[in-house]
Amino acid sequence: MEHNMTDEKLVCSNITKTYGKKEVLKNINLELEKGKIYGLIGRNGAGKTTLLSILSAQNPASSGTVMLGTEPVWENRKALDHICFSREISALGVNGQGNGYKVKDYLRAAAWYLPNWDKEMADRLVKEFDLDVKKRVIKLSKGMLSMLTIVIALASKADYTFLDEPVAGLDVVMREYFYRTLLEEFTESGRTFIVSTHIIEEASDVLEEVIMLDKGQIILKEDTQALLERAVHVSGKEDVVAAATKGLHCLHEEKIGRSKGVTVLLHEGEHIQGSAELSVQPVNLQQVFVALCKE
Amino acid sequence: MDGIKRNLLYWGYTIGLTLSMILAMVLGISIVTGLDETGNILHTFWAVMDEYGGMYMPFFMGMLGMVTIGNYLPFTLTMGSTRRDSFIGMEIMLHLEGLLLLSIIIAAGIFSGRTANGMFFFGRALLLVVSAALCNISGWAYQQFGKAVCLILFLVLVITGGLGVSVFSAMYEAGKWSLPQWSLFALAAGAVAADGVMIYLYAGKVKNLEVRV
Repeated sequence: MEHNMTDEKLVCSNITKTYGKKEVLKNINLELEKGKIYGLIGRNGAGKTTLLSILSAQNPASSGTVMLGTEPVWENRKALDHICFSREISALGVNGQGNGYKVKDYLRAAAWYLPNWDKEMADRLVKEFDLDVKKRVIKLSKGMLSMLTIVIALASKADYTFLDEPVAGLDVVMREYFYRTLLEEFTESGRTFIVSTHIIEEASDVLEEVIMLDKGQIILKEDTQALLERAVHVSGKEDVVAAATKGLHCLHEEKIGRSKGVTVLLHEGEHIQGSAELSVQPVNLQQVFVALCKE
Repeated sequence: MDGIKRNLLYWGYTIGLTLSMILAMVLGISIVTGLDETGNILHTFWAVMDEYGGMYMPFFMGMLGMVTIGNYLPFTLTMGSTRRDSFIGMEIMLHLEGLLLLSIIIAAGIFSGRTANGMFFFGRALLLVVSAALCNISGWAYQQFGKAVCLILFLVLVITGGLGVSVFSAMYEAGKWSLPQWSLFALAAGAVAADGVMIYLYAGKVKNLEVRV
């Protein structure tokens, strides 16, 4: 009897990836649970796409392992049947070589390769996005390429679905539609999604847990709500702010004249009391990320 | 559907589409260059295919090798295939569709009035094996040397090989040169071995193939 892998965790251990002398991922350890929407946030070149490629065995790691339960993911169809990485589609095709494919060729290939492919859902999404299936990929706009990525990801019905910059090029109406559809699908199926994005604030409402990547390393992995509850921005006179934030985990400081502003990550039991001289404000996810990158 | 079956579907479609385009191109050439003395399109098609089939086949298979590893193979990885399943599916469909193309070339020879003797079939079977080896060579060379060098090597190989075959065929048909019996077996064995070796080398390049980020 085949072992049911639907509820297994996806675990990557000590993953490193080097290209020549450049180390793009450094000793990544990550555990992904079933039934969550993760946000993968990082600057350009941080290693987000490389990490997703390795998690889905589209690229080999230089060292380390990726396991789905007890099964290695690398070159293992049993594990790969539960994973879908719908990467950003380039108009030039894969590896920069034009393939002359049309939208329908991508959808046909997805139907062949993805064991849980939902054709009805794919057709519905194509209609909603108003995608012309007879159009060549090379003729698609950036937004339409994103739509095709989204169709493949959502209709794959894979237990672990990765989307790389899915909203790049989409207008605000389509972005809203995407987030709504993602949540509906998540609620209905309980699939795990990892969404890498630069449009952090917009996505933060749907992200249950956030993974922040900087220079090839994970700098933070935490429940989104918990993170936002313990991140504050403290501002006021320099000496007052310094006294209030002494011994606390300060991420980033800004000085304007004699005033100072500090982004602080509070640990359990810590708190800062606001006063007439001290302003303590909540920060959003984007501000936390920017502060962490500047730390 | 298991991994190899999925790849048989994909590669059958992809290689089949390319093969159809080649045949459509030959049909187009037949029509554009004018009908032969019979005034029959089909007859002209068979004549063109017979005349140039020996050149189309290695050229088609060689180009396919480059396009396969540069584009189609990475595409299958983005769809969740393993490298092993994709490579096996590709090689099976490549040889099967090569066989189909070969059947068309043989039919072209017969319908064009050639004598369907042992040498006729042997030459064409050798063409299939050499073409398949050429596909794998070009795929390997693409990864080893890069696109530009691979293209140059490929063109040099096709031109010298084509010239060599043309010259020896003409000399053989004019009775100026003959092949001893044992050499035919040696040629056949050599071609099959070359195909096998190139499959092995090509597989080595596919083993850790990267989808460029």
